[in-house]
Amino acid sequence: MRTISKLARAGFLVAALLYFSGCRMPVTPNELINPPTSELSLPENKWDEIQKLLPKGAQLVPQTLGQGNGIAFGDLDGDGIDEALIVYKENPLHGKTLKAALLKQKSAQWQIVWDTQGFGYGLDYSKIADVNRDGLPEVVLSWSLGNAGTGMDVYVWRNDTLMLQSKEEYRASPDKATVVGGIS
Amino acid sequence: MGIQQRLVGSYLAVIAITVAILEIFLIFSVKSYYYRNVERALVSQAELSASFFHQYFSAEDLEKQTERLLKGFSQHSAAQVQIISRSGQLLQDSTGMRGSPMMTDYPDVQEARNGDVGIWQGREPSTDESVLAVSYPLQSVDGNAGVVRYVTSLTETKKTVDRISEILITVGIIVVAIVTVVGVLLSRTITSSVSELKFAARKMSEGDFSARAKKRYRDELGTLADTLNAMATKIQRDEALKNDFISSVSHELRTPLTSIKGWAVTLYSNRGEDRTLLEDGLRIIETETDRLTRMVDELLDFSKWDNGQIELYRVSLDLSDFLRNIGKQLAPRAARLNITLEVDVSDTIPSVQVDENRLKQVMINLIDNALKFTSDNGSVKIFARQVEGGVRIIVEDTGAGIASQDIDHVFQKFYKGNGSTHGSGLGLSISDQIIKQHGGTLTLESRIGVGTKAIIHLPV
Repeated sequence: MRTISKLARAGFLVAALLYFSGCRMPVTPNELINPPTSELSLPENKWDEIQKLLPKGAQLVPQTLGQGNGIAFGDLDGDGIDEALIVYKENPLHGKTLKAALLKQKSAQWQIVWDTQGFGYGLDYSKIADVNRDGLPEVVLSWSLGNAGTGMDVYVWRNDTLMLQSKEEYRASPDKATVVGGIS
Repeated sequence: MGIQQRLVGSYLAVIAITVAILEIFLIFSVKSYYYRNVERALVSQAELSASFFHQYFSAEDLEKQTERLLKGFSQHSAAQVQIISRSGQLLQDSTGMRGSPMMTDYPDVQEARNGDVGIWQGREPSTDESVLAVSYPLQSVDGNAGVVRYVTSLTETKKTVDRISEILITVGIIVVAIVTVVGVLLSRTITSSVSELKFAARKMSEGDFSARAKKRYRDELGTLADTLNAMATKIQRDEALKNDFISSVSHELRTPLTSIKGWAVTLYSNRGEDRTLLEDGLRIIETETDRLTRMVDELLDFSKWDNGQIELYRVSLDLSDFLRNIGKQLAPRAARLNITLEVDVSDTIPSVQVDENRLKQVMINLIDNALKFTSDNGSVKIFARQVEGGVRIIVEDTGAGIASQDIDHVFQKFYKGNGSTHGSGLGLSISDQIIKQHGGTLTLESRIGVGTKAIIHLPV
């Protein structure tokens, strides 16, 4: 009996050594906190569909300004069907990167047509609106670094994708937003 | 060192080494886990801050926005945050400005000024506190604008790791203590058996063969106890046999001696006047002396057999002649006892290579026994036949027979069927030895009240 327990112990030790030396450091308890999968809710049951497109364990990032929950709708390409702009945080287990994605409905199916990486602590606000008053809607993503300020990205719809128009530091209220910078 | 100490010692050594290895491994793991997580938290915070600066704030001069940046950089971090200019001068510090010292001495700052991520763990020179610092370059459009630096004290981390280590070590000591206690208890199951065996063995060595070792478990020690007990039983039985033997031999020796002495005294007092009496007396003295001689010879013989000093002088022997001669020799005695003695040997029986005198000794012993235990009108038959691989000589009588519980013991030295029978109890034992020495076997078949058959098998 002693031999067996010794062997078991040796086996455990070897397994543990392999685990720790072969794999990366285990995640911290903080990073392990994430909501149960069923909790996410979205009006009109669209979320279920959309969620399948996002990486596993992704969480919506609610905006700090106003009431937004990380999803904005608007018709970018003028086909009469709204596109969805989603800001989400990737699975905490795989690094907490902020990401934004544009989803388009093609024959009643949502598809990710574009995505980009976010910055800062969180999302200040996101919207699809005509901010430069050229008659066409733009995608506005405003990232926040807390008290340090906000960075605003404006993207325009061109050639069936989004092109970065400007990337600006921004401190005023978004409602009075005027983008000074030209097309970059 | 006793067995218990050695057992407990080896338990302890095994468990102490195991626990020590586990402890070292666990403490090392916990320590590296804590330190690396602290480092990772700082690195990700610094990276986030630096990349945001690069994306949105790099257009403006760093020195003009340090105050605002510091607020943002330090918002989600408990660490000390420093913003350092391109030249290495401290611009902002979340713990409060203390002048504008040059930070270029710190290895992490040097690396960040070169555009790399700088990580440094060491002692803060001013306070001698153990710290971990992560520096990230703040990049603007035209290159390096400065450095953001996150510094954390490692005192609390160290304390936490020490606390966990203390707990682990305490648990380890408790485990070792429990195992020691269990080891002592377990080892007792072995050592108590051994002590009992030792105690019994010592009593036996002191001559007390009535002592018995207690058998506790059916293991090797249990078998040893059984063996020891069997040995003691055998010694006791042999001792009893020897005592019987000595008293019976003394008695046997005494009877002819008394007779001789009595006749000697009678003849002496008679002074040869009665010639018949003299002849009778001398004849009896001669017979009794012969008996004594035979008895002493048996004893001598036996001790020689026992020491393995007997050598055989083999000659080619014609069995039919040999057996008929023995028959003739013993016929008068059989007639006197009113017993029919028959010798039935076929002439075709092959001759055997044996020691004639020894085989004669065996035959006389067997026939003597047969005559002794056969009553009036009985018969003793001697057969000899050729069988496969040798010859078989059978001495069959119609005597009293031997009880089945005795038949296994009759070849044992000093054994006698019942205490009252005359003789040394060596005859059959010696016969058996002689036949064995010839490469043959001697077996007995017997039924109470019907008779006994002694079968000698000799190889040709």
